Amino acid sequence: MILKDILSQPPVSTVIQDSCSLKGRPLFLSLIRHYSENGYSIRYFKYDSPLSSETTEMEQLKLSWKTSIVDGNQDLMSVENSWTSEARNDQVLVAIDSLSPLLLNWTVGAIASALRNLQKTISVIALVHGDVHDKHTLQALNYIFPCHLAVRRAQGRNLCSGTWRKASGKITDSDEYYSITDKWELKDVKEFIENQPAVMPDSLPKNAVPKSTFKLDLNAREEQARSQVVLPYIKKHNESSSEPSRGKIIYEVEAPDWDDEDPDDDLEI
Amino acid sequence: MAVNVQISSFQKRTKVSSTNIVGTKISALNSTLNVSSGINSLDNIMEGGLPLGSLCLIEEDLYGSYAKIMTKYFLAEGAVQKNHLLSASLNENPWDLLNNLPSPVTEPKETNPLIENKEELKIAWRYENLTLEDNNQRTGNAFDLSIPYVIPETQRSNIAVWCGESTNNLQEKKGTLKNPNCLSLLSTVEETIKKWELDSVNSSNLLRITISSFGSPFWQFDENQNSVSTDFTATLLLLKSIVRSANAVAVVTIPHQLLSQALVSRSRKLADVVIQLKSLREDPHLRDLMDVHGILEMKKIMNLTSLKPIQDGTTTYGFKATKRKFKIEKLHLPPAVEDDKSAADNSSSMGCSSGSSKSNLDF
Repeated sequence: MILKDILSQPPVSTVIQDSCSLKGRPLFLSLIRHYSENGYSIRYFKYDSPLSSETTEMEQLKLSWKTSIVDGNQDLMSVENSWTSEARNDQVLVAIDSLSPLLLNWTVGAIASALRNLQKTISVIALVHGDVHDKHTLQALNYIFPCHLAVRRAQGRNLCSGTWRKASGKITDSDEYYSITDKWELKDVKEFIENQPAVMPDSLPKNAVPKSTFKLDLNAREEQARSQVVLPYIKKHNESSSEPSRGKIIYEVEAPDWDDEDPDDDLEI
Repeated sequence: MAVNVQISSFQKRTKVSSTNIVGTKISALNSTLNVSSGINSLDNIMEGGLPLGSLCLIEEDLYGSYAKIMTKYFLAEGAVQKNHLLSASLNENPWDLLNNLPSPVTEPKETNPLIENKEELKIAWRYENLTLEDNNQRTGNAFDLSIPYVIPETQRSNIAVWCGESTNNLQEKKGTLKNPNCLSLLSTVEETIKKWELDSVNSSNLLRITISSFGSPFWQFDENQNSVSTDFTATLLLLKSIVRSANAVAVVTIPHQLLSQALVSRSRKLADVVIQLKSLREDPHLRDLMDVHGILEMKKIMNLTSLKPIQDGTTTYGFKATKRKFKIEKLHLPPAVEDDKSAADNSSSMGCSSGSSKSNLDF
């Protein structure tokens, strides 16, 4: 239950991967809002060109932010320096919105090293657009961040699934529903259980046959014949059900088994 | 004239000089000097441990947690045996690894009882006062992960780390190896070996090198598109040649899920011993097997001194990593449950894929 627990702890470096079906920015912003209310100062770097709707969102949140457009001519070091400058005290959180423009200009490895240097002292929350990058890049990003979440739409609701590798070595997976209120609060975090297929019956159905190369099942005619077989002990039970059976041995004498021949006949003494 | 002429070629056997390199044992199987890996059961599988001068590759499980545990055991064994240690990592600070080594646990050894019957042995009277020997005594140390090992001060000088400082005073890259991290690592390894004189003939100690998560994004192999694949394998090859010519053993863990299959295959061919770890998270079918935490496969065991491979048939083992023990054992199936009609299909080596799953589609 990552979303439930993550808010009760000091910030963990997280990457939120979103896609066209569901924007990850609301979740991203709600996490940031939560941390800023808990006394962390947020350094927000926006690398995606902002939409006008987003400008109003940011004003609502009272976050100060600066947009910078990155291009490949810039050195990644300068970008990295902008992250780490003025970061003297501990209660700083760096929010990167989003990593996608950075990944388009620089390799995963370079960004990984830059982030690692940053993560030594500060937690980073980053957004990345999953449908713009290839699987290998996303895998590498998941490797770098201790907590990675992917948001998508499922059954009409927002679903967040992810993995959190804690420093103690414990790894938690989770799938949760969530929703964001107007005030950027995270609520309704509920565990998502995939619809199980119909519950298995405890016993195998009558027609189940073990795997083998022989034909062991029965067709309709054979089944009917089988159902008509009279079982031996049942018949006897019906016969003697009037008297209490006391374990007598009932021996019906059949034709006497005399053999007139002398068995010693063929001996010559 | 009394001249001592040597008529026959018979030479009186002098005592074989025992190995004088700390921490190694001569293998019973093939007379190579073997270095214990820290995990008893792994040493048993490898007939004594890793050969001295070999490069061992561990293909990590999904997030590398079990590989990290194995690395810790390797370093802890080295610390206990007073070997030199070099820990290299870009994922984390190598000192974090070194400060959290498991500490050795001395098991309460039952004191060997004297022979019980005190009556006189008439024939074997020479054995009367001897203690009973236990031939199955465990060799090697057991470690406990929950107690961090405090490395004694005298040992601290035997430890070196490499955490990726970019040494700008490296020679301009003239060779094929272009990646700065790799160059820095290899030069650190060479310097360490020279510093402790481990490449001389008389050296009496060895160096245990561990490289964690070699090939992860932090190493920036993708920086130079031309040499992305050659740098990786060239570094491993150079490392192997360094450890071959010195008293050293190297254990390198690679996150093989992040690397291309071709690269992983090439590194498998390069390394001397290859171990692959697969944890339960990656393959849910493994849950059907009796409480193992994952599968350990010996993809390659190297026999440096003979043509015959060390194989006894099974290469797939299960491992159980608890705080007290790291146990590797042969896989076995859970007892057949009554509904399990497919028990006959399960074989140890492929136990994972055909679990005892019941479904209406079984036909």
